[in-house]
Amino acid sequence: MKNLNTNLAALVLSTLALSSAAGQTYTLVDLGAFAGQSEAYGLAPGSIPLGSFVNPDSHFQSVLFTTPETVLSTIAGYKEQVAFTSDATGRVYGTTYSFGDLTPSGFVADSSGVSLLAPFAARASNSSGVIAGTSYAADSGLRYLPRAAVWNTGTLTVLGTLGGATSQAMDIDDRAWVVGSSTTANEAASRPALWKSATASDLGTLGGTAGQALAIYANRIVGHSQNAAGVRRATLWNIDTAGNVVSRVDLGGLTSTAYSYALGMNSTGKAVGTSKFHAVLFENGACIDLNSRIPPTTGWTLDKAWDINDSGVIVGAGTYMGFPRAFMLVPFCLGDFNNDGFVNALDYDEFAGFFEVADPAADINNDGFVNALDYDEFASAFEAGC
Amino acid sequence: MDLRVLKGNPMKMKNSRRLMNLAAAACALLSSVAGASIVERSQDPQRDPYVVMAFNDLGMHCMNNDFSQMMILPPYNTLHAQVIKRGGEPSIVGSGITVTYELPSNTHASDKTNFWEYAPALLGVSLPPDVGLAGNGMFGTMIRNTSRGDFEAVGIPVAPVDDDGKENPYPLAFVTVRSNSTGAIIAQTQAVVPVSWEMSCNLCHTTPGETVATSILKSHDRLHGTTLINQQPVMCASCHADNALGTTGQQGVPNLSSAMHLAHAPRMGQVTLDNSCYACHPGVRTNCQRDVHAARGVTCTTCHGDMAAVGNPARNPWAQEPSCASCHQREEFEFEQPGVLFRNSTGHGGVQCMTCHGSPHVIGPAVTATDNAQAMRLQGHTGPLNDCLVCHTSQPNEPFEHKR
Repeated sequence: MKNLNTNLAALVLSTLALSSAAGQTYTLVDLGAFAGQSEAYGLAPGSIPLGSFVNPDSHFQSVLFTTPETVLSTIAGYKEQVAFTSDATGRVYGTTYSFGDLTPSGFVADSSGVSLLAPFAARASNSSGVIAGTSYAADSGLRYLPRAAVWNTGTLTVLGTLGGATSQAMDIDDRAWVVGSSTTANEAASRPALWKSATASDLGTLGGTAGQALAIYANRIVGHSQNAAGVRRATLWNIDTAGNVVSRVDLGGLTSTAYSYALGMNSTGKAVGTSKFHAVLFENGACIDLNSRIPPTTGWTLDKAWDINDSGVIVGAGTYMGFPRAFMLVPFCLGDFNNDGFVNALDYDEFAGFFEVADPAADINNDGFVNALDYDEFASAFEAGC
Repeated sequence: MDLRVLKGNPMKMKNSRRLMNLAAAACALLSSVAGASIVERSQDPQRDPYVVMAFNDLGMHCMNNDFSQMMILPPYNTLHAQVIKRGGEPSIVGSGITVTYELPSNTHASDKTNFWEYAPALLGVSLPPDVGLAGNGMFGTMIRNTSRGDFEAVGIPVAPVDDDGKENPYPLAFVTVRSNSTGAIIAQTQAVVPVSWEMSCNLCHTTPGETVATSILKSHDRLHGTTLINQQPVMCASCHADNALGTTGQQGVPNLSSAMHLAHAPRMGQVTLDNSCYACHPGVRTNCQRDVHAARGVTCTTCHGDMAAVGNPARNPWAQEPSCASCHQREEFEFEQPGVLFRNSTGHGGVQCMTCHGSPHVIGPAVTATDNAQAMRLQGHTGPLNDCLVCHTSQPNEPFEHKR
């Protein structure tokens, strides 16, 4: 989701740890504490993470990671359910299905409940509730091949391919431009694709064969594509107003040769994903391991970041106690003590007020004591700004 | 009589099928009992000059979810395809064609598992991302296996997660056959490439403050005097011989299957699942066994025996497996070839058993629509491929024979 104002005050989730490492700091929020195995795929308005958890019947069930969690009701006939996205009004969309069935179904959840949309795997929404996803309907030859599709006010439209039999849609913007991947006539690798209408265009790769576009905003598309060495690298496609590719940029990885994937992006061009199976942030030409922005003693490995919104809030899945578990990273500026978006005298005054009375709120380094070490750490952050 | 002409007329087609031999009729009866369904196809693969049938070798492949501490099995899925030139006397095609595979909804894997990060420590190999232990990737060309009479892609490193993020243990592979001389597509099919990491060790290994793997390794150290906790990541098969990985293990150490089954057999009382095999094998959610037998109440232990039997140290795991003929003992029916497992056996002119019947644990008709998709497309109904016209262009006059 993009262009969403953060309302962090609405989130009173279990905060695990606060990092004060160099660069952007984050509060790591354990979203899966209530259930265990879980994954967060997107952010609804107010920075509400959404995704799925494994319920007591061992099936995936959709959840909004509010406090307390908002578990979406399931639909009869479907065992699994995953919430992927929401529109600007907060309606939630996702896919419900059963293992071994051929045709998943999109669903919508709003104040009136959870209901089926159409027989396709809903994946992404634009702000007005036009949904991109993948249809698995049988073709005339009774082949159940995935095809990129768009659902709009009750109508499901299957999009074209790059000449092959299959395609997938992963994101849609407010122009209703869709990105994803498609095979070509040789039916081998899937290529990164853009649909400005029902017709697909090949976005090209970094020199290799395969790729996939995962997110689109304005003149930027991100995803991954193989380079000449055959390694998938997080890729930025800069496009012009007509959708033509202006340039393809290797967004980097945790090493110069490591595989990397960009999976989500906000309106400012910050992208998130994974490299060497560590959640990463692509920012200002760098690929930053988000595990370096949380304390090393949390027991977590952040594996994969699925989405980032304009407030910089990141969601994804990590490994905690050996299982996939949903996380949220909330940007935190140590110098902005009163969290008003500015580093100024008000922050100093508020910190000093707590510090003088040894209030635990001034225990900046979380060591259980309010002392000179906290003062020094705050002073450094205050001077550095955000 | 050209039966291809009759295919547009359901009544005539119905009459023509009365000519089918007893074997096929028995299979059809089995299909109807298990809830088979029939659909009309608007496009008829039986008009094509070639047909391809694809199948996985095991019916389910297990893999670890997290390789950072230990590994039982890596991502490693094997897909076979048999290409047949249709005719009055069909023939298996082994040359002049190129067979390719892809997984259209699951096109990459290195963002779905940390296997590639730990493969060097676990297996001593540094693999390119998305490439499996046998050198195959998530799409590519299947290699001719002359001894089997089919094409195969060994060790596809597929993980049970679709590209959009949802877990899916039954992704469908799309297999395409092209003529080498013209480059034209001459046949296509879909087949499930099953994979699951639903190994529920956490049902028992739940030490507060420890990961499941830590609990397992510490238990092993405590019970067997090892120091695995200091040797992470640990590949179980490095000490315990494992035919699945081709490791010979260490002298005096029981093979992995025996060690696992015998060590856990006395402890299964605390598992309250309807099918306790699903405590370790996938699984309550995955339902590894999803075939006609499952639909008829035949469970894992009916064929495999109990844990003591599976864990018998004298048993050679993966090589000594249940035989169809243990139960199916009808005259004029031959099941596996003598001394050959179902998954490797052929009959009826060199056709793989799995080509018509499906993979182990998925003998048609399956309870899962994905596993039935190939049969539905080729013959219009679920169950074993028992419509002679899938391969024959006219109804054979001779009775069907498995063994010929």
